[in-house]
Amino acid sequence: MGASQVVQAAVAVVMALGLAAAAVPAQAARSGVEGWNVTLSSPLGPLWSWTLVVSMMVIVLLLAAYAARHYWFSLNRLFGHQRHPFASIVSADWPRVTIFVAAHNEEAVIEDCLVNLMSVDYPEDRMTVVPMNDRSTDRTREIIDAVVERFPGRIRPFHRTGGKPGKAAALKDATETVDTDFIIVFDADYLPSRGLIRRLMAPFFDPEVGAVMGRVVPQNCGANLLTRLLDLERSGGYQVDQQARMNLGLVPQYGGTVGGIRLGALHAVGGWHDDVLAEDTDLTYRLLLGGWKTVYQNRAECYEEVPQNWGVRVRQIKRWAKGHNQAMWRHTAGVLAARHLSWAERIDGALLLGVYIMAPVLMLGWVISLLLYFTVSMQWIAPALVVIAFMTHGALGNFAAFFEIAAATHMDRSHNRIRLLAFNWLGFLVSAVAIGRGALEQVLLDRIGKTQFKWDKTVRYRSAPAAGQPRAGA
Amino acid sequence: MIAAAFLLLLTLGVILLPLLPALREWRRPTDVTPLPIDEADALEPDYLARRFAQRLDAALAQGVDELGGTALSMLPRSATWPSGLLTRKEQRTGRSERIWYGEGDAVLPAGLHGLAEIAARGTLRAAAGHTYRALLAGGRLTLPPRVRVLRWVHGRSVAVGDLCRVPGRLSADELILMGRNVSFALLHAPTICFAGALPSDAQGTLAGIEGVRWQAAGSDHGHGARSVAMVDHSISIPALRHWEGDLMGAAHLTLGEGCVAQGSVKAAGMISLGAGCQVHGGLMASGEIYLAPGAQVRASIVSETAVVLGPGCVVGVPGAHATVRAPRVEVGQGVVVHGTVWSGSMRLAVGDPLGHVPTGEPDLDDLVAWNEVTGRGVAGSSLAVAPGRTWDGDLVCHGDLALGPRCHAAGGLKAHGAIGLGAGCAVDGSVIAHGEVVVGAGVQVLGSVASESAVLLGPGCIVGAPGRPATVCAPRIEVALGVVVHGTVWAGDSGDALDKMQLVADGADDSGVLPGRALA
Repeated sequence: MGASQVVQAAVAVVMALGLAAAAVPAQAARSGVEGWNVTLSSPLGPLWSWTLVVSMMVIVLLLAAYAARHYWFSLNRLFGHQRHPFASIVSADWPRVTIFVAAHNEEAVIEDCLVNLMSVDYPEDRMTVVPMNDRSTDRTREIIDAVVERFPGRIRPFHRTGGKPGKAAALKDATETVDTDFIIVFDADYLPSRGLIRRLMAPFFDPEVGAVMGRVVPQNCGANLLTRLLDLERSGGYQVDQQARMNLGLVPQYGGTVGGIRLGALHAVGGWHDDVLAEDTDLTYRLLLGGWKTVYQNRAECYEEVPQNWGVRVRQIKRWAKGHNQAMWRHTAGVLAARHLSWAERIDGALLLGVYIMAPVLMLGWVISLLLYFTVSMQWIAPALVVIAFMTHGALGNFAAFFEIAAATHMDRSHNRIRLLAFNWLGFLVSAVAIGRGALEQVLLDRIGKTQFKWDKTVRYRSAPAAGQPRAGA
Repeated sequence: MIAAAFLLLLTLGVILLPLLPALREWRRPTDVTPLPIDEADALEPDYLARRFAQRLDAALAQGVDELGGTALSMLPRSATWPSGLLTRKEQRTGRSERIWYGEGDAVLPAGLHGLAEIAARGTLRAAAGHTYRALLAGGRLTLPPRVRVLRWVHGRSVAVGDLCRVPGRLSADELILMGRNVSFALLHAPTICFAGALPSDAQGTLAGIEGVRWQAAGSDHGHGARSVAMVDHSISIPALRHWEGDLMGAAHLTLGEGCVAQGSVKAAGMISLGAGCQVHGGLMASGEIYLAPGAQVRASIVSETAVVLGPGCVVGVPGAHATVRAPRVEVGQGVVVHGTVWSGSMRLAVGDPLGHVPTGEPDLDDLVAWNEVTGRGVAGSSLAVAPGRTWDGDLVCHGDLALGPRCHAAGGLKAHGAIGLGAGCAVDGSVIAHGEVVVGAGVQVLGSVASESAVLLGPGCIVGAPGRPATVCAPRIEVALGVVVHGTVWAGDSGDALDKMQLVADGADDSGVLPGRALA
């Protein structure tokens, strides 16, 4: 979801600002200070000075922790033991499954998704496709009904005209109508491949698995620079980040689409919560705390459409950030206190919850750096250590950020796109600012007015088929 | 001044240098296509064979004489190929780089290794000790001993001889019969039998076994004549044979693992039943009667000397009681006898045959926390389940999990450590473990068996069922005689590594030990 990239951006920028901040005490040190004592002076008093310095150190430590984590993941993916325990399960008595396709005004893409699902190799009598049409005002309903007629008995539409808005609320209502033990959720712009359903279902033979997540691959990556940068980001996020968490027995994340859920587990942890902004992250953690595992299947690949303009991208990542931060608020303490989890799971779970809050933390770091520069004079016996610390942290952070994407690109055997890596700065900065704004809104504005749950739809770029006409080639 | 300028230039260079290739790739894109995903489902075990068959059919339909740059040649039917068919180079090197295909049955000649695909619409028999790249048959495909096939093998049914080596994919539409000491990576068929010796004809029955004479003997309760197989000398029946009728031996009788006799077995000497054997009638012998772990006998067992019942054996069925009668009876752990055990002078019980929990030992429910919503049980540490226990629901264990003989889990099993299934256990779901999975003799698992370490299938095991396929997968798999798997056996790192799988299949690294092994 780009969260890790935001953290990486944060690391990089704090490195730059940290260097600036460190330059001041480096000059001040020339006045000579004895021993290892740190001497701070500020016209605003010692409390002010120490608060700024300690806050800065905490921020640096946090960013360094994420940098180390990214390094660890990249190295694990390149050189470590790879875990794909369910990838070889190709023969099985496949269980019955309901496949939800979430749709709200998806006339441009819904047909392709449904038609693709009709050609998967999962036994026909074991799968039911349910297009979950939630109060669409365009031709979504008409297109769904036309596809239903083309494939009689295989698609059971769920047209929702009332109730609470939002994907989680729609899922909650639709799940009530299900008579299978498992569900799989797709967004309407996804194009499931032939073997995808089996690969998503294979991990459910493990009775400990509550949710499964597949890999998302941008289909429109060649549209412009933004889509190409998002393609790199997705590669790093799935090929390295998610798979490394799977390898290391940490906390792979259920992403809300291209994923499956065991309904028994869902019910055991309280069902869908329609009062959350990110039902996927929320569910990942409720399952984790309830003793269920989420599994990432790297070979369960599915094409999606990524945003093609920056405005859409900013809105998308703001939405994700708000939901993720809400989950952080709800679950961090519970995860850290969960005794049935290993310490590695607890720490990684908490760090994963914090990825989106690191952008505001980064911005706070900027402010503190400036305040340190202008208001505090710091003298230290070894100011070079501070410089080295900032440089090391900054360099490590940058390398970790880029290294994850580079590792993913290498593993995908797609070598030329790595040349764009330096431009990822751009995406990182935009994401960081968007997330920071989102966090600010969440803390200040959303608290003033009651949060409105609604479909915050991502713009689609395919064109809808003409009325009464199936899409060409369908 | 110069130093400052140099420093400035150096700084700008460090900043701008990485941007140059990015700028170039942005303005003149060279890599903008979406990343390829496995849309063709290339991880399907028979994908390579199916794709080759399609390409071959297309080439033949077009009347071309090459396929992908490799020459196409017609296969003669006889193993003795006419002179002039092979080129001088082929004769000299003993290797052919042509694709051979035949419209009917074919037998490959000795002295010629096939470095390209070989296909026959009918049956196909390879030459012992030879190496081939890929073999395809519309009918039965036979790999005699010590054959090596690098890339893939596919037939309607495939028989694999002793000491064969198949580092690629081996699949069949109906049946795979595995010999002894076969090394493999991936097996896939509705039924895979690790039968040991391969029957030449009438596979799976007593036909072809020297010394067995069939004769009709009287009426079977009005259902017509009942067949009796007579044997005049000591005999050892290979694993996984099945027959209808009684078997009577004048000396000793040994039934291999997984044999199924739809009748009684009698012998003047001793009788030995391999692991997982099923005898629907009774056993009678003058000498000793041995039942290996997991064997089942529906009627009475009578010996004039001794009866030894291995762990997890079952005698009789509920509602039709049987008797075990001998001067000396030894009973293993987890044995179930529906009826009477009558030992004339001595009865020895090894372990706790009836599966009672010793006083003071906690009950299963005390060790497992069951969830009322999901029916799933979780054990927080290692767990050893006493013999003969039955429970509903999935069981997750955070340590090692050991099931005593004849346990029945009406659900799946998962362990963070190793899993051991005692003889004669039954598991209705899948068995998944981070550590090794050791499956005892005569165990039946209806679901898949997966381990991140190794799977060892004991003699007479059954995984999956007809019409209910399953997968056995692990980095290392060892399979004993008499095992039947309905579905797939995938040994190796994982099915994720498609490229690696194909590299190995291409023979790039075929020197090492293969991850799958059919034991002798």
